[in-house]
Amino acid sequence: MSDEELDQGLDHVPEPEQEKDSTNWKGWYIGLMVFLVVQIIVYLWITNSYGS
Amino acid sequence: MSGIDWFVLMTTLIVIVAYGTWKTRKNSNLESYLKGNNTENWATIGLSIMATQASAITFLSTPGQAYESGMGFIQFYFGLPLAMILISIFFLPVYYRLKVYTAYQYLEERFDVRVRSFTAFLFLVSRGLAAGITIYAPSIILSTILGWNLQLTCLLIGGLVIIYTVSGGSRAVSLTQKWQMGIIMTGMFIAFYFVVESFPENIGFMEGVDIAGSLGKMEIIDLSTDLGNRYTLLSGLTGGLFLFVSYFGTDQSQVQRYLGGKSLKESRMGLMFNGLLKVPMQFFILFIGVMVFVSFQFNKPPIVFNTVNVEMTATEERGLKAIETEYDVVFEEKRVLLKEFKDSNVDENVAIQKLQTQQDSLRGSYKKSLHKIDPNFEVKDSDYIFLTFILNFLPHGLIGLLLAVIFSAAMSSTAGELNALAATTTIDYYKKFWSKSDDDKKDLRVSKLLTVGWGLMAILIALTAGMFENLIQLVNILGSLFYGTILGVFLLALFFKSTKGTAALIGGIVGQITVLIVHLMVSYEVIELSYLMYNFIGCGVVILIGVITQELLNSKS
Repeated sequence: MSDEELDQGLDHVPEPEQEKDSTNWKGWYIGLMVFLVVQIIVYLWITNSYGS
Repeated sequence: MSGIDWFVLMTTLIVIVAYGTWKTRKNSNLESYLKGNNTENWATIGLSIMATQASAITFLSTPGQAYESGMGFIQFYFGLPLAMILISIFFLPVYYRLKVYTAYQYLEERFDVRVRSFTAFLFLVSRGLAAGITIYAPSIILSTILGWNLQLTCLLIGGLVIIYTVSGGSRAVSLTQKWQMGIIMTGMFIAFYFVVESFPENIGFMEGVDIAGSLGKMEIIDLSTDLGNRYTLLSGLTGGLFLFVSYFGTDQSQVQRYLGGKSLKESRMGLMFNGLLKVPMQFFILFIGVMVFVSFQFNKPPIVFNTVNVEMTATEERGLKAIETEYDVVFEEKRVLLKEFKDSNVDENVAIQKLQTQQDSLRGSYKKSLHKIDPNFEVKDSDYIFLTFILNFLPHGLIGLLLAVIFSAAMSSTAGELNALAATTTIDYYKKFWSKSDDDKKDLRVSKLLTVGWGLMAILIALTAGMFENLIQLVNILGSLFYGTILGVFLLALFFKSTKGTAALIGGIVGQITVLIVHLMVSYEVIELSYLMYNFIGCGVVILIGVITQELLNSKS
């Protein structure tokens, strides 16, 4: 789905009041995914270490 | 249980209930009652989200599941962090912009009142039944093992929850959940320490992990693509993702937790907190189960963990005794080998694995025989394993604390459910169809009454649940029966602009019927499918039918 389509799908929602939020959410999302991937890799390593 | 255990248990419960009730006693209007006046910070939101999801069964069943089947269940949670991100990007801003009380209000804004009522109804059915089972499931385990009266246990859990949920509303639920999560995690760390302490002197923590690994309990990731396998990397990342987006994004018991946030930023942060901690937390709980398994390699476990009270003939008893004797011999033989355990000794490890298989098979035969003698005997006893360990290996006082953990978990999830059920009934039905006035005091009274009503309903379901074995099994997968449909409707609303109310409603109904048919086919073994895939199917059908119906309606007009 393109950004344009996404925007269209959400355009029924009124514009939000301006909220001061300087948090780097993109960074949070990437960090969260990296953390998940690292965990899966560790679990894979444990699985292979004890695998029959 | 000793006097000190009772003291710790009752003090913990009473202090939490009193704190929640006192701290939130000044509820003057419906908004403060249902949304807590938007005062919660990210930590409270995050802990509250986790506490709502983690019921008592999480802490009783999960270690037992790891004991029986190893760590594979963790894969179920892999979709959760990604779900947190998607909700944070797409769902949360919409709820904040529209200043909704319930998730289903958004569907009226986007479609029409029929779609809103339909999804709210699906939520009330699934969550209403689940609230009863959230009380019943731990009560039956506690009453079986401790000899407590089942009805009184159900009434105690339900009654305590009703007190502070009715009095303090959403804020009381969030505040008590924060403390309940603190008690739960403290209790689990203490339990973990005592599990490792119960190993023999020459077996340390790492040897324990090696023993668990050699007996197949450390196989965490399953890379197979078989859709019939319940817990695989694929099912966790696909079915699990759909389940968690639906649960956290559209289930009012979760939506209400983060709608009470101070701001969009605090709510988002609460979701990130959950996304970061949930997988490690589940890993830890499963790992405790695996360590209990190792402990029971040296400390002989009972052949069945649920107390057996079955009347039998002398012949039947002799047959069971023979299995018990063989079980004891196999256990001793294995224990001797394990005392000298070395990861590198391949031959010995193969012998240990064979003995473990033999022990499992004897346990299975014993349970089957008991079931044959008394069809009421519950063959699945894994829910009782962790509690058996607690009662036998923890010192007095801490047993009370661990029981407080189980009660806290039961109460925290039930409170979240009752609060959400009352909010949905008040906002999506009472305020929408019956109350046309703006009498806030009256609305608040009605909302409190509805909380009491749902609480009593949950207790009633808990008290009668024992009569409906199939219902309990159904409730275990209840979420997946409805979440796919609800998510499909929300995705139509968010991403398919041209779809209107009628098409969404038809899509929703067809999607729900499809999931129920698929479930029937799975139940009667016509097809083999993990219940996690119901979410995927339900959601897909709703979107497909919704879009096609809209196209047909457009071409007609």
